[in-house]
Amino acid sequence: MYKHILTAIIIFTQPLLADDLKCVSGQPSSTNLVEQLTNAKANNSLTKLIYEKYKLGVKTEANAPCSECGGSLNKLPEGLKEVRSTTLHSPEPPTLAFKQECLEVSNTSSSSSAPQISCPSGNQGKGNMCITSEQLTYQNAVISSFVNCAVKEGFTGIDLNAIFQKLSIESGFRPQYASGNGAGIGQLTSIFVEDVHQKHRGYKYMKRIAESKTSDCDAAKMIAKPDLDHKPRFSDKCAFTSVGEGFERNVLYSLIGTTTVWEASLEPKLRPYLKKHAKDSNIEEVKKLTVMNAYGSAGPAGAAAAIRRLSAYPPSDFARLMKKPLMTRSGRNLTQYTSNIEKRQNVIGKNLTGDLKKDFANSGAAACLNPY
Amino acid sequence: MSKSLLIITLSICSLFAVAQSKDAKAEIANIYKEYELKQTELFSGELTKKNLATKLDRFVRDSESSLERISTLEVNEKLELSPEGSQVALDLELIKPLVNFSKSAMSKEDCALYANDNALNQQDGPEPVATAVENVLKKLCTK
Repeated sequence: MYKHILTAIIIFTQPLLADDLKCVSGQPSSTNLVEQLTNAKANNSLTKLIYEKYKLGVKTEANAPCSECGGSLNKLPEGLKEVRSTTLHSPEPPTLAFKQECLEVSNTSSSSSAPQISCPSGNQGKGNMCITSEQLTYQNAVISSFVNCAVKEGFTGIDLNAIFQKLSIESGFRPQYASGNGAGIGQLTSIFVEDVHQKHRGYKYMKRIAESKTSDCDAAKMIAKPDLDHKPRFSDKCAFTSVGEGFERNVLYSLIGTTTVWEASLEPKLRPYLKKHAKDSNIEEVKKLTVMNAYGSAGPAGAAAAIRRLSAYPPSDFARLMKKPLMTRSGRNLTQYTSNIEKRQNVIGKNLTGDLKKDFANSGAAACLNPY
Repeated sequence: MSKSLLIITLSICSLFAVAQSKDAKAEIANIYKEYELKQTELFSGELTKKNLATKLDRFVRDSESSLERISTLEVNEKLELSPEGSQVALDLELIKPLVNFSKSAMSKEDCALYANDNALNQQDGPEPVATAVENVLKKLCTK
């Protein structure tokens, strides 16, 4: 009886909810992602932990968006920060990695023809799924939390600027897309997932997180620990896209994969060059571009080959040439990823507004990072 | 008079530069042909667990020398990075799983491990050297 009443309430309130729904991208009538987040907030311990830790959804006068702060809470005047902290009677939440406007612009500037997956059913979703501002904030918190954990655990090759650019090009921060080849926010492939579980490759990093003693890894651990014993099937798309476990796994695997490729394939090759040009102002850019390039069609081998080709040049030329096509005889572009990323970032830069637009024009995606 | 002389000198110089860059490009093409022959020789020959390390070692050394000669020509003649040089650089990376396998105990576990490394290099479609590596691994690992 109660079940029937509940169902009736849900059916009657659904259109009302849809009408009120403000989507950053997608249609208000396509609510699967919103429902996933609502369910995860109520039932999933990882999502609950992230909400609690980052104080998401907590609304006080003091943490209301500051209209003169460019959307960043970090730029709040010191006095007001103190008031906010006292009002909440608890320490300030950790900083979110990315500025909200950048996430929203990246989200709306992206389009994909890949199927959208409804979860938990795993069927192809109908319509263009609505992504709310809250969804993007939650994703931002998950990425921030997992990056914090990875850095505390000594992972190298993790760079927030590169992560923003990578996720912008892969999915535009839309977690619901999955085709035969790629799944979710990081568009992970089956080979990539396999690599994360290989004993001599990603497994040791996953283990490090699963056994971490730092509280920064409490959330990431909830994925890493069970996954050590039970590798999720790539054919189960929700395992890499759904809110509460799939999207979060996607972020964690992306970080582990990045570290694996950097530490095993790229850093040893680039080490003499980094040492030689340690004081050069472009060396960080070289490092960042090299890490990102490993996601290209030529894979880690292509990224390593690009290092071979460009190491003869000084860092400024290395970075410049990384943004141009570097073709092989077989027609493969060794810098496919980094040459495309530039185009994508230009689109994002055009769609930003105000001071952020100016900052982006001057410093690129670095303008989208909160002081972290 | 002096103006005409200058123009003639500049024209001769630029013609010389064009001819030199053409020579350099032809030289790169020749180096690449040589490299391709050695690669065909390697993969069409009989590769066994016993001779794999020696044959690969020689091939990698030759390939690295080919790449160095190409890079020197590119830098000296201020040429754009050639597709030939980039192919040799990529092939040298693609052959690594086989090189690492040849230095291992060549156990079943090693077979799986290096087959995975090779698969990682072919995420967006096959590449001739990676396909050849896959075939050699299959052959040696099923024996």
